[in-house]
Amino acid sequence: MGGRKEWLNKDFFILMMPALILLLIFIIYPILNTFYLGFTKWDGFTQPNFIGLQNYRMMFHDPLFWTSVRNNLFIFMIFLPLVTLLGLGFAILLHNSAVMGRNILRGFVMLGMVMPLTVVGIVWMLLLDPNAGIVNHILSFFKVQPRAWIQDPSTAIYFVIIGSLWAWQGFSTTVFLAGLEGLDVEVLEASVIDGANPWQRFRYVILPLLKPALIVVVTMSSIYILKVFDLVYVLSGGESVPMYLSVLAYMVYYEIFRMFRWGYAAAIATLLTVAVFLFSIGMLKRMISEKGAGS
Amino acid sequence: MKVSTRYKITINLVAWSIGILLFIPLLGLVMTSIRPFNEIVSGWWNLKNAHFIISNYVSVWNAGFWKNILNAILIATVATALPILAAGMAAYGFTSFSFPVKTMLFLTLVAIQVVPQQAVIVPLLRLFRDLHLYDQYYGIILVHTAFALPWTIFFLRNFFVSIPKDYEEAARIDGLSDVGIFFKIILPIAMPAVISVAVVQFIFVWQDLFFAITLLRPGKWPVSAGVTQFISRYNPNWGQLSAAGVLAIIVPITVYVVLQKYYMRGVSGGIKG
Repeated sequence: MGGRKEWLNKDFFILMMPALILLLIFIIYPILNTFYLGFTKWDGFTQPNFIGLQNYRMMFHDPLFWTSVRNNLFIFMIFLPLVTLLGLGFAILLHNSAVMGRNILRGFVMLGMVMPLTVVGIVWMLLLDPNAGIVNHILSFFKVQPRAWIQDPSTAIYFVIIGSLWAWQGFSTTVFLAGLEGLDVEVLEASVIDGANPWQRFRYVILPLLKPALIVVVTMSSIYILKVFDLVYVLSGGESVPMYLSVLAYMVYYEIFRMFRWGYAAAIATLLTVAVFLFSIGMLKRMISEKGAGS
Repeated sequence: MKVSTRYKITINLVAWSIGILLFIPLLGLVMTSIRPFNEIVSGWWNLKNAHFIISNYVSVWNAGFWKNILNAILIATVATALPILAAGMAAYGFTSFSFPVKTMLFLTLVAIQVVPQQAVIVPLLRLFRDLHLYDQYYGIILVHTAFALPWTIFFLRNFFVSIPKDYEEAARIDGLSDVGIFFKIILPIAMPAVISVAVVQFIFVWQDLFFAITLLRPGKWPVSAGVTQFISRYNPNWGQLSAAGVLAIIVPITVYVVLQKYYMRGVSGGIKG
């Protein structure tokens, strides 16, 4: 509700101006400009030269671009189902009042989420190290040969996936937990009285009620993993990351600071932005309809 | 509902096994940071003849990491206070005025919530060069402020609409302006929501790597970027690397532990409305 007051007065402008100016200068103008610069050839210093679709054509023939896309897709396909299921599972456990010390457990779940991803990267570099790592040590009990997980090109990408999972399952758990806590107790009790067993109760009563939380988790996790950058950067150790590990967000950085192809970087950034929007449309629509645009 | 003892034991066993599994990574980091290199190589979990040292922390500190910590505190604190002020004011403008293009502005805000940082970086670098914002604390702070606005405006607006109009009307009769009402009435009432926003934003800025390494030179880097200077792909100095890692997470973990309730509300409410 609200919004009954006359807007043409000094106070209204004082309230709105700081936010609007910041948004305009640092977000809205740059986004539109990125879109334009994607059609130019530019080294960052001279004047941008309009070249039409040439950057996008170049992408098509650029092996680094296709490697990045493939890596993004591979990480996405493994990360998304796992982070959703883990979050749901942990939330159900943490919601169960028979579990003791739930506050401490919740803290453990959130650990990876409150630290910088670069530190998450350091943590997993340590755990996956061929000599000093505990992962190889544990796997040796199962007769698995020790491996240099990160240095081996065929397994390095799992470092990015497992680091992202450890960092982000805290988010999906939190959202599902909030969803569970918001469930209508009466509906649940009614289903018990109706003789539903625990599985039926979960499948036909709880899961449908968790749909809003599920949409948020799937959307936010998709966006999160499409934008994956930090864990790839960490592996570069200040140098350039090996090509086989590149992802789109990293490629934007690489084209700007290593190749000085700013127009090309803008084109890739545009593509990444469009991808992110496509994945968020469903959730954004819900936000708009729930809140009512005019209120 | 009564639960059997066996059920209780099983579910606690499951929950705590997972909890410990999630905790081991941090334990490994801490243990590595306080043990000599030769013991780390034979496994930080190996407690036979264990020695504990603080020299890794001393050398990381002396290598200038204290500056990264100060940078992070400065950037994260200011980049938390500013968006709360700017977003709070705008959110109040949204709740109490109707104006043309309101719907369009609302839709724009919804849409730019999900914009990746890479979407703005190319023009931003030019803008920073032209306006002499590059490698300045206030440059990156302004960018973080702008990026926080969409979700903080929504979050605070949702709280503001739940405040009864009587407060405002009473204040208006006392002769307060709209700006005065916001600062003297609305903001104090909204403190719980403000703290939620503050915790989430503070931790978020603390974690940021991309803007830090693109908009600042290493001398002004916060810890998120500073720790990467200790990384070496093939010859890791585990002791220093993990000590830097521990130093980089003390502040956000403390903030989380103290303000846990607010953080959870901020994380689940910011996107859920």
